[in-house]
Amino acid sequence: MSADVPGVDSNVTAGRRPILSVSDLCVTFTTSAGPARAVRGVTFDVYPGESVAIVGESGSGKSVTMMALLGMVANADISGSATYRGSELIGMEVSRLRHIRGSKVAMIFQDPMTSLNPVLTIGRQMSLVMQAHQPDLSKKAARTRAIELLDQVAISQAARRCDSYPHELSGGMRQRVMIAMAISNNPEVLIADEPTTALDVTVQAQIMELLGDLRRDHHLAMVLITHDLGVVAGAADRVAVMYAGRIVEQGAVGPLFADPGHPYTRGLLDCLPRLDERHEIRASIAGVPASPMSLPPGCPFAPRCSYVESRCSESEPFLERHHETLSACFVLAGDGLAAAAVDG
Amino acid sequence: MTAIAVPAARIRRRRPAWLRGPSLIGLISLGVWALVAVTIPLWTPNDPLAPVAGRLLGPSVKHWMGTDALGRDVLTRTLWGARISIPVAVTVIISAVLIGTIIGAAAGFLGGWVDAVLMRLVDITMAFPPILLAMAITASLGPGIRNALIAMVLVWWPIYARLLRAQVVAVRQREYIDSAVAIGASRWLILRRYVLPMSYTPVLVNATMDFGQVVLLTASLSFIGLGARPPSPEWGAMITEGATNFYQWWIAASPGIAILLVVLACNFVGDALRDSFDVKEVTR
Amino acid sequence: MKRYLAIRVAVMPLLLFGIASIVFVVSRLTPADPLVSIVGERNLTNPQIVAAARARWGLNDSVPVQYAKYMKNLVKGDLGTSFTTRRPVLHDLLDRLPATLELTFVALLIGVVFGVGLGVLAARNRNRLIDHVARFVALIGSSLPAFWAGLLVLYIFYARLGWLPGPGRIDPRSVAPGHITGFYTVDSLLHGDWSMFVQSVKHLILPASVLGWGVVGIVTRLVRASLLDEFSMEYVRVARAMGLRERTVVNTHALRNALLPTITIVGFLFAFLLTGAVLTETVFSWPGVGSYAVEASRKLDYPAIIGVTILGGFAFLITNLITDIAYAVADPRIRLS
Repeated sequence: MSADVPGVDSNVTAGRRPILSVSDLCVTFTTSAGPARAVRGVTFDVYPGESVAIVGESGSGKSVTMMALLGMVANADISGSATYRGSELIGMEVSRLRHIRGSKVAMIFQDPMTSLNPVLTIGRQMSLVMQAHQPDLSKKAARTRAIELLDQVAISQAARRCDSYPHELSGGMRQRVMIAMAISNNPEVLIADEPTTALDVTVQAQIMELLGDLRRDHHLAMVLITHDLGVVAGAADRVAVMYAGRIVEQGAVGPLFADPGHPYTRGLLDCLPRLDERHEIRASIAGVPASPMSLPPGCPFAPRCSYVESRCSESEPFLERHHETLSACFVLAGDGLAAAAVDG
Repeated sequence: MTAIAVPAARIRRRRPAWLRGPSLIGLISLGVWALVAVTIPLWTPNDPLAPVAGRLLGPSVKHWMGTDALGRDVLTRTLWGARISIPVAVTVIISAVLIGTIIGAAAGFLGGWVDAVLMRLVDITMAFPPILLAMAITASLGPGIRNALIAMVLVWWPIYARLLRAQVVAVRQREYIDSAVAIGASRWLILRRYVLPMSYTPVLVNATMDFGQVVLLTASLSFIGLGARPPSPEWGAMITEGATNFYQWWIAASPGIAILLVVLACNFVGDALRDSFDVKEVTR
Repeated sequence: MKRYLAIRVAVMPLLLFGIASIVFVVSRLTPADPLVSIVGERNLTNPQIVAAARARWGLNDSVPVQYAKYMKNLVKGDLGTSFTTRRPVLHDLLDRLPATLELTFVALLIGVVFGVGLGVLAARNRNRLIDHVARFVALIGSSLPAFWAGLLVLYIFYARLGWLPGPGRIDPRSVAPGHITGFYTVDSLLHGDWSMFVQSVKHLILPASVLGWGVVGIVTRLVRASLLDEFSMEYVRVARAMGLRERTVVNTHALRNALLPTITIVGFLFAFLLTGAVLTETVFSWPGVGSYAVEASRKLDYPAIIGVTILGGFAFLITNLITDIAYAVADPRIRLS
C-alpha cells in the first residue's frame, strides 16, 4: 500500500518515496507461558517531513512496532519488513543498525525521569550521543553544540544546564533535554513514544508545540506514538489506530476524526473531553484490551464492540475502504451502507 | 513504555532453585561429608593416627593421597577430619543462632536502653575483622579446638542478633501485632507465632553461608596453631604439616580440597537459597 | 550530607573506645597465665623472677586499675611493650604496617579489577556458558582456604615452574630499598632502582593474587547483579536507541551506576583482605601485621595481640568512613544534596 492510501497528501508525497516503510511486520515474544503475538502484520509508510500518529491502548503493539524496526526488541521472533530509505532494517546487524539509530532515526521516550542517566551530566550524555555518530567531534565542539541545542529547545541558561545532573531539572526540562539529544545528529525521522504522558498538562502543550516547531524547522518526519487521540489532532497529518497488534484504521486526521470507520476509533473519540459538553464524566471503552497471549478468533475487538455481529467472531476483518479512511471492520467498513445506517 | 513488558510469570512449576544444578550438587556433597563424619569409624581404610606405611610416600594405588611425615595415610586422615570440622561448624552455628536469637529478641522487645546497649555491643563486635577477634579470644582462652569453637561463637552471634532484632522490629510495626498485644498476647507468644516463623528463611540462608565460613575459620585457626593441635587430623592442622613438608605436595592437597569442597558446597546452596527466598545477607 | 559525615567522624572515638574495651575484656578472659610467655615455664617456680615480671607488666593491680591504666596509655598512643620483641607494640606495628598495606592494596586492586571484569562479562552473557564459568571462577576464590591456595601457587609457580620468586618481600640476599613510604615498590621507584622495583613486584604477584582472589567472588556477584539491574533501566535503552556503541552503553552509562554499590562494599572488602592477609602473610613469610599477629598469638604475647586487634578494628572504622565519603562523592544525587 502506498499510492492509494487515503489521507496521504499528494502534495507532500508527490514523486517521493517513503523514508520509512513498514510492511507486514510481525513480532512474537516467546514467553514461558507461550507465544505472545504483540504485533501482527503492521503496514504503513512515513514520507519525508510528514507526521504520522500511531494511536492505541497500552499493549496494542504500537511501541513494540517502533522498537522492533530499530532492532531493540529482545527475545522475539520478528518477521516482515521495515526499510529506511530502501535498506532493510529487520535482521540488520546491530553494528550497522547503530548508525541509523539516533543518527537517521531518533527516538524520544515516555518518562524523562528515567530516560536520562542519573550520574552523568546533561552535557556529557548529549556529547556521548553526538560522538557515537561523529567520532571526530572534539569534546569542546560537542559541548558547544550541546549548549546550542539546549538553547534551541528553549532551556534557559543552557551553558549552566549543560553541567547539571538530571535530578536538578524538572520533568519538562528533562524531556526538552531528551528532545535536544534526539535531534543532535540531525535525524530525518523522530519517533516520539508517548512524549507527554508523564508530564503535567501545561507542560504537555509546550512540549508538543516544541516538537511541532522543530519538525517544521528541520523538516523532520515524525512518528508520534500515543494513547491519547487528543494529542494527535494538532500534531499529526495522518493517524494509524492500533488494536491487538494490528492497525485497525488509518487515514488523514480530518476524516478520521470526523467519520471514523472502526468502532474502536469511535470509542477512543468518545473518551475525549469535549468543549461543548458540560458533564465531567468521560466515556471509556468497556472491557479489557485483548491479550496478545490469547486472542479471540475473529475480530479481536469483538468482545468489547457494541456493533458486534455473528460474523465478527468467525474471521478477522482486513483493512478496507470506509469513506475517506481504511478500516478493518465488517460492520462499518467494506460496504459502507451498514455504517451509514448505524450512524444515523 | 509498558507495551514491551512480557508476562514473566512462569506457568510451569519448576523445582526450586536450591534443588537444582550446583545447589543440588552442593547439598549432595554436604550430605556425603556428613555421612562420612558419622560412619567413618565403621569403614576406615586405615588408622588415622598410626603409621601404616613408609614416611612421605607419594600417591599410590594403596595410599591414594600418599603418606605424611609419620607414615600415616593422608586420605584416611582427611576423611576423619570431617569428624572434627563438621561437628565444630554445626555447634558454632547453632550456638550463634541461639544466642543471637535471644539477644536480638531481647533488644527488639525491650527496646530503650537495653536495645541501645545490646546493639552497640553488636556493632562494635562486628567492627572487628572476624579472624583477628577469633585469634585474640582463642589466644586468651588458650589454644585448642574447644576454645577456638567458643571464640567463633563469640564472633558470630552478633550477625544473628542483628537479624532477629530487625525481624522483631518489623513485626512489631505491623498492625495485627498491635491487636495481638491488645488482646493480651504475651511477648513470648508474639515471638513464637510471628517473629520466629518469619526469621526461619533469613537465618537459614545466612547459616548456610556461614557454615562454610566457620569451616574455613576453624581450619585457619588450626593452621595458625590456635585450634586443633597435632596429631589431630583436623584439616587446617594437616595443611600446617603439609607446609613443613612443602615439596611433598600431597600432604596438604587432600585437606585443602576437602575444605574447598565443603565451603564451595555451602556457597552453592546458600546462593541458591538466597536467590529463591530473596533474602538480604548480613555481611560482616 | 556534611552533617552526616560530621556525625560519623564524631562517633569515631566512641566506637574506638568500645573496641578497646572489648579487646581489654577479651584479654582478661584468659585462664592461662601470660607470665608463661614472659618468663618461660622453667622460671615460673622462681618467685623473685615472677614478682619482678608481674610488677613490670602491671599484672599485680586489680582489673579496674589495669583497665584505667590501659585506657590512659592507649590515649597516649602507648599500646604497651611486646613480650617477645621487647619493643613498644606501636613501633612494631608501624614497622610492619607498610608491608601489609602494600600487599592489601595490590590485592584489592587485583580483586576489584578481576571482579568487575568477570562481573561485566557475566552480565553481558547472562545465563550463557561464559556467565556460569565466570561465576564459578569467582566462587572458587571465596571458597578457597587462602593459606592452602598460597602453598599451592608457591609449589606450582615457584618450586615447579620457577616463574616467580618464593616467600618474602624481596630475595633473601637483597637489601630493602631505603625507607621512605615503606612500600617497596614505591620506594624502589623513588630511589630510581628499577631492578628492585621489578623484584618487589614479582614478589607481590603470588601473595596478592591469592589474597585478591578471595574478594573476586564478592565483587563479581555484586557487579553482575547491579549491571543486570542497570540493563533493565530506561536510560540504557535510550542510550542504545540513540545509537551508542554497546561498549559505551556498558562502560560509560551502566557501569558508572553499577559501580556505586560496589563502592559501598570496599570497606568490607578491605576488612576481608585484612582477614586474609593474616593467613597469606604467614604462608608467604610476609613481614606484615598479619604474620606479626600470628606470631603473637602463638606466643601468647598479649600486648601485641591487643595492639593488632585494636589496629584491625580501627582500620575497619576508617575504611567504613572512607567508603561513606567515596559513595557520597561518586553519586551526584548524594553529593549535591
